[in-house]
Amino acid sequence: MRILGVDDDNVSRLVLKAMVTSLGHECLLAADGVQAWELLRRGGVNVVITDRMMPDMDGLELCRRIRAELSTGYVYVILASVLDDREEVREGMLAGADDYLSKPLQPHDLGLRLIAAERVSALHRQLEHLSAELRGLARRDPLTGLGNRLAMQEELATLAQRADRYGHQYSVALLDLDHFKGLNDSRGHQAGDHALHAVARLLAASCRGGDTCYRYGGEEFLCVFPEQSAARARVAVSRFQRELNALGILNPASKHDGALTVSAGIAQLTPRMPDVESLLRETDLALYRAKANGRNRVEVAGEPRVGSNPEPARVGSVG
Amino acid sequence: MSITPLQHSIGEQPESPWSSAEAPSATTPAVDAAVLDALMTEIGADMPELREHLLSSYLTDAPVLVASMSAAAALGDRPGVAGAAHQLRSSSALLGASRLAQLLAVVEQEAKAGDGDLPALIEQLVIDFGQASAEFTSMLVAATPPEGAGSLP
Repeated sequence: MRILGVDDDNVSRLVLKAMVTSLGHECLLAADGVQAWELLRRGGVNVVITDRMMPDMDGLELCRRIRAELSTGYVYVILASVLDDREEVREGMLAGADDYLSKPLQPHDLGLRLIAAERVSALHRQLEHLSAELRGLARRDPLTGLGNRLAMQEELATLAQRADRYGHQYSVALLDLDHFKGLNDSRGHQAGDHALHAVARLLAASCRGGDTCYRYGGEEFLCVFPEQSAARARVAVSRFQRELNALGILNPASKHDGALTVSAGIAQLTPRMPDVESLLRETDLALYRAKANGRNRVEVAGEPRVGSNPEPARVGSVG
Repeated sequence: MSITPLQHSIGEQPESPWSSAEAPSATTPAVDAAVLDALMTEIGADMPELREHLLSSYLTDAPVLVASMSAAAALGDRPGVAGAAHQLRSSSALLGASRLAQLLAVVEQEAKAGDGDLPALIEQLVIDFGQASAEFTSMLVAATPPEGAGSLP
């Protein structure tokens, strides 16, 4: 392990280093809390053994700071304290120390404490690893591998904050596979899953750096275009539509030569649309229009109908 | 600031390790060399240079701490006294000057508590430190291999 010894006394530091090294660990030293904090912020320290009384930042303050502010992984803290001050030890444990040692330090005791430190540190590392993995899993759609709705909500919330604070703009597109139920009904759900997977891969490949795609639900996908106008988003989505058409995924329910198509609604965050919910509502309405106008087309919220779509509007049921 | 005579001060503090019956005398060694030997053995490695390094570091740092403690006491700076006493206490105990370490514990406690006759305690401390320091110096000299052909007188 890499151990940081903190003591304002030179002799105590030298002895601590000799002990830690003789126990087979690496030892860094700091003469006070401020120095220790600088070393800790660089990361890589597993255990801190700190004296309680030090000038500038004392051991308690260092403990509190480690627990409140350190983001480089769990650090096991052992407070070195004089034997006769039980209140001092209690304060230290409350401030965030994991264990304590009586001064003057005995190599044997230190060795025992470090056995526990090593075990607890390993458990914390495992926990951090698992929680990162879990965090990733909780935000990924298992079928398509795209981010799920939770991941999408987090990104939109971040973008909304930036838009609010710095005036950044962004657009979103909601895509819905046309007649997907028909595909499921005629070719089976496995074929439906394959189609969703293929669409997701194509979508991810078609997105430019910085743009992100999510599985919004069922056969719906949401693309986020940061720093881009609705017009730019339309270009991107239209390109994707052409690519999907070219892929020719079989959908017997399609009115388009039996190939799977997609409809899309786009909206851009504007000052009169202050929150994410309104933006998504506008996007949803635009998608509804695309469906109502014949599918396999793109509609932009707040835009007059223009004939730039791949096919003229057709009357049909939505779905 | 008047300095209370030492014996008077000790007589008033029965809880201090210095009851008159066991008051330190110049004939009692201030340093138990076995403590440092045991520490070196426990650390395991045969490190004569570490032993020398520890002694010389102590002999360099400790006089500064004792001086700053005296100055802080004269100025009535009790946190200053407590801090220096705490720092010196650890190293004194580590290297075997346990009587000095005990006296420093008393100084630290009384400085924190804000009572007790600090100047008198510090006067005793200076005497104890002088003795411990002399013994540490002998240990260092004994540990240092003689340079050149001549041996120590």
